[in-house]
Amino acid sequence: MRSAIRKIFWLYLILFLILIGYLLKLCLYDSHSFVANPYNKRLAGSEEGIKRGSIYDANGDVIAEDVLREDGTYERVYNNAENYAHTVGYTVKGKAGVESKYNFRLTALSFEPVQRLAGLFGNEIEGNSLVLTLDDRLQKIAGEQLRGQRGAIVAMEPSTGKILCMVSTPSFDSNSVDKNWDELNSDTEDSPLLNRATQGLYPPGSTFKIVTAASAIENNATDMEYKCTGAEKFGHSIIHCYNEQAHGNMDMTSAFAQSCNTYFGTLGTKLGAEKLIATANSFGFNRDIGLALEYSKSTFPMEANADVNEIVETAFGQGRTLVSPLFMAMITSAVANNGMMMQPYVVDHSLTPGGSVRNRTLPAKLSQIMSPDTAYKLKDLMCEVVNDGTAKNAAFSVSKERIETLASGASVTASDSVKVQVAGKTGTAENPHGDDHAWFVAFAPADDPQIAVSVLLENAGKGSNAIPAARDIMKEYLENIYQ
Amino acid sequence: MTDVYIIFAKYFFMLYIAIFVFNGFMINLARQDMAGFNVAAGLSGQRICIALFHITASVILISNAIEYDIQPVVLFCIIGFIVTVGGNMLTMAIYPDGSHLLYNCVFFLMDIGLMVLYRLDTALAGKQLIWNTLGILMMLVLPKILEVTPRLDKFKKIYITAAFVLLGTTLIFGKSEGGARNWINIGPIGFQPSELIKVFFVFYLASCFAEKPTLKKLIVPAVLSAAVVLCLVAQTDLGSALIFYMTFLIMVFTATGNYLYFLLGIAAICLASMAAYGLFPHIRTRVEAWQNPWLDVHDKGYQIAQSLFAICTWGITGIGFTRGYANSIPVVERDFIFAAICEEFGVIFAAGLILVFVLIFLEGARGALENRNRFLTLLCTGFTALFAFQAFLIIGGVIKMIPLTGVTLPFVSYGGTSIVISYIIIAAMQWIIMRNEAYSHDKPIEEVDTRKRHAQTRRAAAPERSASRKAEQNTRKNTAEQRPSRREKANVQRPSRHKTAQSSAADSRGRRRK
Repeated sequence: MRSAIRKIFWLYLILFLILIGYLLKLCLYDSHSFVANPYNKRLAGSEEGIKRGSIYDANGDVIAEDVLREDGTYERVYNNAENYAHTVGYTVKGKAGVESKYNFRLTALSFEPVQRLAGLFGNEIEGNSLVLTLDDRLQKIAGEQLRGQRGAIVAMEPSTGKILCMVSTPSFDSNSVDKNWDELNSDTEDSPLLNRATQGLYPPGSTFKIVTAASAIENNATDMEYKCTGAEKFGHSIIHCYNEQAHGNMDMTSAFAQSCNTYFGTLGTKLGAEKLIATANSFGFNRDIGLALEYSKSTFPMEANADVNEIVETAFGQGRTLVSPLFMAMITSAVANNGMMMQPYVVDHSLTPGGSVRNRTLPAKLSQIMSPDTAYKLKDLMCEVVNDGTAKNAAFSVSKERIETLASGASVTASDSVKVQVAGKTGTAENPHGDDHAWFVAFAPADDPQIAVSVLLENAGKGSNAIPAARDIMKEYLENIYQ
Repeated sequence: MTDVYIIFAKYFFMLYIAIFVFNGFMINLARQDMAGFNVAAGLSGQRICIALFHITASVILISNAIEYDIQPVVLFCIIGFIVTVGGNMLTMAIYPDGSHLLYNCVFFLMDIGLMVLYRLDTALAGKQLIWNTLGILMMLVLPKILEVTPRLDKFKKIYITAAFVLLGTTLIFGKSEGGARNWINIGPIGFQPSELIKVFFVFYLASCFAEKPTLKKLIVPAVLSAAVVLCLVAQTDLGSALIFYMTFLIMVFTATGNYLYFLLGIAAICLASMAAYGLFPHIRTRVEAWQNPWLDVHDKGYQIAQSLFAICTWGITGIGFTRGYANSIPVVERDFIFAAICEEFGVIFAAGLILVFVLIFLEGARGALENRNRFLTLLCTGFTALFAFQAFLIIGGVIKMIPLTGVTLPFVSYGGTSIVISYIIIAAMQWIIMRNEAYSHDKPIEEVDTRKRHAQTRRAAAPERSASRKAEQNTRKNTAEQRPSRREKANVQRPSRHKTAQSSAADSRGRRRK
């Protein structure tokens, strides 16, 4: 009996030590996965009299900071507001963007007891600051390129998923959201509050041929040859190539380079709906992408019993498929990154008021969307688009001093500059809202990709119109930023 | 200013509970001669921790209310202080032989509960204060009454009849609240019969097993216990059903020392749980909400998700008393009060609170071990088991370690019946601990069996002899020092008295039986 009582006490002790262990594990290790849930009301709170953390770009330049006013309250001030408006967001009217999703970090106090004590003696009590992955130099170029039109530009580092540049236009001034709120919301034509880069969904146009080509490569259907006459009848409708241009004899490489719709339509019928669906699914359509900001899922609604017309249209990027510029940048990055799609992120790390680094974002893999071999073959196809296809003016050179850093994938040209091999794909997306949307996705240098760009210009006509923006951003990055 | 105070206060709270728990374990080590520690000073230290806790938390509550109505807060804090500290001092005066470590634990838990409740819902905290006062009065009076009662192990039929009458009443007149049909309204007061049934249930089993039960003698109590548990399941009061079941297993194991029964019981409950999972949709819902609350976070998983947010958002030191968002958790003042404590006092403090419960179980085990009477030993074991499984179920449920079963956290959660019954149980445990003296000239429990175990008894007595030698040495040492309390003195004296009891066992047995 006595030994039974002792054993029972040990049982209690073990059970309750397990409770304590579980509690500590929950709080120290598991909490990261659920604390950021939108149902957690604690994240939205903020306290008066506390200086909200600042937001910096990748170089440490201030994008947003709290400035003390004469009446003792803080005012949020944004620099270059138009270029950052959609990513950084605003703190009024329910908050948006990084300001909303990272509210907790911006208002959390490191070394709280010390700060509170110092606060008694008149020092500022300050939340943690955020350092973004965005680079102001790229943001500026993107902003200029998009000025006066509706569109979006996203640039990523393929190997990490780090978003280097993300701009959406028309934009707004984060400093005066409160004042202009009604106006911003009533403008349904331009929808300035919409982040077109992550929330805008567009037909992918010919950029979708990357997916169709990947499906053909993975299913060993790349040996198809075809004579293009500029138009072809499938089922009950006729498909045209752009401007009804007859491309003549086409194989996979030339059809991809010239963006031949009829070739890819025929290829689509050969592959069939199921194989296209399988490839689209593995590419991550209809799935969450794990971005911390507001975004829309890119959709691929075609079903296995689709008729021939839907298959054909889907195969060259029309149909009902919809993608966001960010998702196209992710696909392009995956091609550049041996088929591995990375989770995109915009916040690199936090800084305590004392300047120590906290919560550094570690690159995370989303999934291997295609085999490295497929990615390699796609890369060749995309190089051909720039070398001898629809995107010849995407080529650019960087100065010779960069030759060391860009050793591979560059060939020395005549003078003091070095030509960089670019891989890309244009797209011209027909849409029900007027003129075609212009798409261009690209990465460079092809052999050792450092940057991938996705450009969408609404109603800007043919895809090549989107090339200069992408080229300038890649050139600026490789010339001046990448180390 | 208040903010700064609150931030620093949370570290003080951690310090108080750390000292309290440290003293508690050191006292236990000192009692076993495993560490030199002044027991009386340790107990005083604990009392000071309770008082400081009350004062530190009161200052926060009062300074938060300073801009509007300050009177009720001040009144609450002062009355709370009188009940907590005054009540504890009364136990010292009335029951110097009781376990004051146990009293301290109870008063500390009670005070934590009161302060958190006031911050969550002032009206409920007022009621809780009344319930606590009532409970403390019961705790102070009951041991005196029990002392003059006849042999309580002779009324097993009354206990089980009372239990079934209460169960029947609940089944017929019961009102459902929070999903379980386990409430009866008597006038304006809600009453939870399952709490009172607990006491009868443990008394019943202890009287059944007062003679070492054979397999045959186990059948009737087992069948009747199963009936009690099934009635509770029928009221969808799964938490209580589990607590009763586990208490039954623990008491059978204590009475028989047979692992087989215990393991069979565990296997049976596993099978029953699986069957229940398949049969009842509301159980499936709970298990699913436990497995992945994030799938249905706005409905079925809402409660547990809010609890996890409260526990984890602010890290292990918490946000500071009164600064949290604990009211976002449904029924936070009853089932989920532990989450509110984690949020505002921090997970470290909450871990300390769990250890305070462990101290209570330690006192329960000690009370049972030092006893020489099977009935009282079993009673003490049963009551400890009630507390242990109740605390484990609700803390485990709140932190999502096990599926949630709605029961209260003893002494901390709001609840009239459960609070008063908890004090009654503590009163019974204290009575047992104090009776250890009176029963010590009874037959030692090893001798209950017939001569077959005589040899074993002699072997068991050997370490006791060495213990008594040690005690004698202590006595010599103690003459030089001041003795901490009458309790300690009694401890020292007992072995010699016990020797007399052994030498004239037959004689004393005859005396007892009259």
